[in-house]
Amino acid sequence: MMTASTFEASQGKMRLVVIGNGMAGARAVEEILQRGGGTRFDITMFGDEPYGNYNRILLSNVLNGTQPAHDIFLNPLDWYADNGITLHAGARVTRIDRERRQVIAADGRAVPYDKLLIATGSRPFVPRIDGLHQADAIAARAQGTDYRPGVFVFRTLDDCTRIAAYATKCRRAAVIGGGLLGLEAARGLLNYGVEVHVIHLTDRLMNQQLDPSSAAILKTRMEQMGIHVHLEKQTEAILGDEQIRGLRFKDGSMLECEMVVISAGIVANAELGRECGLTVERAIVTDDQMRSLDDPDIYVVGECAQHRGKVYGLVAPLWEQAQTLADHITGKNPAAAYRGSKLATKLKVMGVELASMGLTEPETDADEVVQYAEPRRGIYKKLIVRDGMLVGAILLGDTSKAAPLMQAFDRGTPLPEDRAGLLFDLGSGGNKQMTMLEMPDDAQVCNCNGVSKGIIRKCVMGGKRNAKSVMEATRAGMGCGSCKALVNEIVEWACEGQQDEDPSIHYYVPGVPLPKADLVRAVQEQGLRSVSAVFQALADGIEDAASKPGLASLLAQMWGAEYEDERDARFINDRVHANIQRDGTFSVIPQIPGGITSPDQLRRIADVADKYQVPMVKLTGGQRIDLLGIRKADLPKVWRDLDMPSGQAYSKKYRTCKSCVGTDFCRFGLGDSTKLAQEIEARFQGLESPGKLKLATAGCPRNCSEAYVKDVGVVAVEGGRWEIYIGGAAGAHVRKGDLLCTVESHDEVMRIAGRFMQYYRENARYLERTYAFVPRLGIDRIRAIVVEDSEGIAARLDATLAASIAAYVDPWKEAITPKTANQFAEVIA
Amino acid sequence: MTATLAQTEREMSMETPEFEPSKSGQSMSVQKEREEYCLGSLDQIPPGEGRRFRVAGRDIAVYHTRQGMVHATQADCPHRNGPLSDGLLGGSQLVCPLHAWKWDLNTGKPLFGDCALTIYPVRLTSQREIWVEGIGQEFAQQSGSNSQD
Repeated sequence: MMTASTFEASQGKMRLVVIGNGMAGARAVEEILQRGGGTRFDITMFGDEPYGNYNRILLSNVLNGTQPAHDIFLNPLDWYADNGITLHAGARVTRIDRERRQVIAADGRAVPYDKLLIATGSRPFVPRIDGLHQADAIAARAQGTDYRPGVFVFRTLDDCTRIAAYATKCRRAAVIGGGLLGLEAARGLLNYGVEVHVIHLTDRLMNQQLDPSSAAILKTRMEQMGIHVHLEKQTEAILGDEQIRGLRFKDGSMLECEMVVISAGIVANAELGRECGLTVERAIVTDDQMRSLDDPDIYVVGECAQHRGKVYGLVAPLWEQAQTLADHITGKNPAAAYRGSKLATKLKVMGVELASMGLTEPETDADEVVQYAEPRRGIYKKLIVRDGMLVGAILLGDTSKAAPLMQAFDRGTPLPEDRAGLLFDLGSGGNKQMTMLEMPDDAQVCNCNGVSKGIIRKCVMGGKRNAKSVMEATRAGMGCGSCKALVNEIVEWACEGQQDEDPSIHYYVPGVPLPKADLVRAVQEQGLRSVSAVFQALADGIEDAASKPGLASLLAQMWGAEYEDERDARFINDRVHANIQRDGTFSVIPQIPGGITSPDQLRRIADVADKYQVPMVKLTGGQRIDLLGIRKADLPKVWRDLDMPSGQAYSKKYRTCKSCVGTDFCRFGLGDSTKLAQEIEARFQGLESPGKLKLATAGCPRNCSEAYVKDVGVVAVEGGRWEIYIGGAAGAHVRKGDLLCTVESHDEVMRIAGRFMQYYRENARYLERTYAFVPRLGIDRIRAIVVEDSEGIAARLDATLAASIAAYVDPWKEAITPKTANQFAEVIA
Repeated sequence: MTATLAQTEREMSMETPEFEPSKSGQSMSVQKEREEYCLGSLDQIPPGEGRRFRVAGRDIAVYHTRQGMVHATQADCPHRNGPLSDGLLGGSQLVCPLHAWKWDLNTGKPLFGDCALTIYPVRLTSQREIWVEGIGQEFAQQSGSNSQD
């Protein structure tokens, strides 16, 4: 029920209804709110999709797997509530009643408006092709699409999910349309292991943005990536009855495929406007204030708007339209006018750099063309200059000069006489300070969100003194993200080195506001032996779920046997001593030191795999055997039947030590790497640590066990000596380890490697792997402390480590004595 | 326990007096008028953790916070079906074990991620028995449809 005061308040407000919750609608509302529109309007938004608002530009990243879906949401649902916006997500508006000034939704609900904003966007253009639709209309409705199974358009987050799911079942996919979005979709599909074919109507890819030479180079580049390109093909029919079998083209040729993605352009969603009598050509026609020609209370923005004969399908014009509209509707600037946008495009396909703006070919004899081509390396650059100003450019294979060219194009500034300097970085290039200084304030830095260098500089002057807060305040870098490095540089420059660092990046865990050294001291001084005690004493009693495993790891290292182990502080893997899989089952990896097993062990593993019907038995990268798909309730039984110790392949601890064949059989072996690996594993097994510790020993510098790229790698060299490498990695980050020292015996390897691991345990941030830790401190400093004992702490490090090792208990022993109620229960019934 | 067995028990329990505690901590009884189900003792869930329960043929996740609160939600995460009862609990925050999406268990609203959780009203008796209602109905606190009329 409304109280009297809120009723009065809302009486004074105008009702603004927004149809469309995509990038245009949501951005327009943000701009309106920024201009104080929240006090002027009661805002109601309708969105077709059952989500908050997301960044459609990044959909291809979701498809190619480089970004998870939740990353691309712009405004979480809370944003609507926080700003007093009523959001009807998943509600379609079916009619605008201009007489009664209300919109009518599919469920019959009528919502009155004083001002209306149409931001219905566009939908994919689907050419006429036989066999596109589902014969069975009921089945079609049930699946939420009227296309037959295997036919997709590429437009929404749901499309993305469906395409990805279907692609994994297919051998070959065809993408109809070789434009910007079609190529992005094609590249995304490659990641699902399908053979990808692009079908394009004209004689060159991206014919809107490229000339014949650059299109030919792009085609070669695409083919090198494994994408098959078919030009001048008009698709006539999709073949096959139940399943799609292929495509037939107008020239009579055919292509076998099991799925089809259509990306042949867009059509404006202008029906609502047409039906209520607004002027519609290719889209709803607007004036320079983004109002419909026929009704001054109806504004139109985005891909459903036609302004001065142009309909824009890119994001930058949409921001400019939203700003004009917001200036006008809020009365902040009644004279605001949008005068059209110049178009510049970047192709977001991994492995291809491409920027295109304006014209692709000269239009008059007086137009000057500057061109450079290096087809073998896939590089092509072309400028079209008219009266000394840039009117068009194509940059393929090297877009390092795209930013200044886009600015010159956009602002119509005269180009310098030195044309070569526009295409290449010649000579020394000058220092960064100079370039920053030279860069004009109105130079656009973030093309997605229209943020200039001046806005960033003012934001820094206004007190936001680190990149993160500047990005949050200006939205620079929050679109496609490609300008983040430049934003960082400008902030750095504008701060003149006086940046405030975000303090939380120094906290050991986000939920306790202390760097590691201070945290360790507080824990020691106050005798905090459990995770809950730490929250109580150091975080005002407020538990932070994500901080619990980090604290548990630290306390276990610090207190050893005195640690009060609260199981809820552990990640699920450490509660049930197995690695959780995508379907909620677990993987079980028993210890196989040095990768050496026996027929008896293999028989036991095979028996367990049979008995528990293990869906996958896999050899791991750590030279062990993984049993995947084990149900939680079966874990204790599996361990008991295996009768082998835990391989710890699920925790932030010492994991394993690989080895090569060593001296027993290998004719090159210089040192007994298998025996050393087994000794290492026996000593360090299950050692709690800030990050995973993966080790290897190699019997000679041929490095068959990849010891050079391990957290600790030990390599035998001539003369019975061992080299110890630290800080190597061969995961997402690849780094060769640094040589710590060369020692004479197995015992010395154990002592020095152990001391390094203890030093790392005490000084690394949570989840900071050695490949980050070692370069952060520097190998010389670590060598001084660990090998030369420059700080006199070697004996203490050795003793603390020995205590931790003595406290180790094989967690799989919990098969016999579970530690918590229903520890392994899948479901309690 | 299968759905049929739960059904039988529900019918049997109609004959038991309204507020008699269930005989064993593990068995489920129901007071039909209020569609409230007893899950047995809170001791089945260690403090700071969650467990999956099957009630009235449906799985739910029930959490026992270190502050002594009890919450109940849908069993699997709306993103990729992660087992929510295996998540990390901090106060009334829940973090999914698969991709670290995060929710407020008081409201079901997402703190990280974009889908809300269905939450079920739950209470504790003085004997520390867990009672939950709304199973089978949707008590979705979908934050997306917060219309203000």
